[in-house]
Amino acid sequence: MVIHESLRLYPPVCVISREALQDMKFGDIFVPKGVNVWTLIVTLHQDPEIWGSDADKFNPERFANGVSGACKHPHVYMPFGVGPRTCLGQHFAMAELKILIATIVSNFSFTISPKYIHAPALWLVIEPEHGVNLLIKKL
Amino acid sequence: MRALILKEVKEEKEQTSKDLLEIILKGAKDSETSKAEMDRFVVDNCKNIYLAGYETTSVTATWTMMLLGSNPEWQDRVRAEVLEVCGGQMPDAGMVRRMKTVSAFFYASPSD
Repeated sequence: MVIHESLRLYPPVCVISREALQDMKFGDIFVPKGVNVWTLIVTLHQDPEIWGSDADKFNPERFANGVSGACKHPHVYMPFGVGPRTCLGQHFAMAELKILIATIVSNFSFTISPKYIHAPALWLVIEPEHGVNLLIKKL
Repeated sequence: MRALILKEVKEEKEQTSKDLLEIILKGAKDSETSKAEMDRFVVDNCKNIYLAGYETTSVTATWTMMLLGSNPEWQDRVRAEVLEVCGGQMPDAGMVRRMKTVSAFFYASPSD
């Protein structure tokens, strides 16, 4: 729940691009062959019409009944991409993250430092521009 | 980025460390392809493993720490679950599966 919510709010990769291999029509939009279509994951992950009025809030509880319980259109949740090119390492990454977070929280408690400046920056991935300052206490 | 990776490759060739880059280099060498193809193989694999496979996960861990640091009630919930499931030990595969609050593997997206 927590990691899914984290990936919803801060998907490391924020755009999925696909090239139209032939002329296509999406609803009223005509996409000529050769055009690159960019799908903005961040936008889809935080649309209140899809996620509800608390779309911009950290609320892991929304994933209590899976992705389909969390939003109207489960296919728009794609922190690991979509289709045949879905992230090869997604299950490995989730296992890594669970072990890492589990190890940290069982040994330390931490709060966000007053020095922290919230500035998500899009470089190759979405990163905290000034890092994340935490006040850490050994348990 | 290509130049940066090839510079690392050059430095790696001068030492004998047993790391992932060396395994990639050996793979390229054993494939008996042209120099250009070998370089591409090495650069593509470095991008995949070191960028797609490292930076994405580490930045997700960083954001998760920020969110748990800002939401102590969730940090407590996660800690309670981890202590209950793992009992102070390093998590094994079964424990990883049982930690639902941290994250459940209930991926049911149409792409699966």
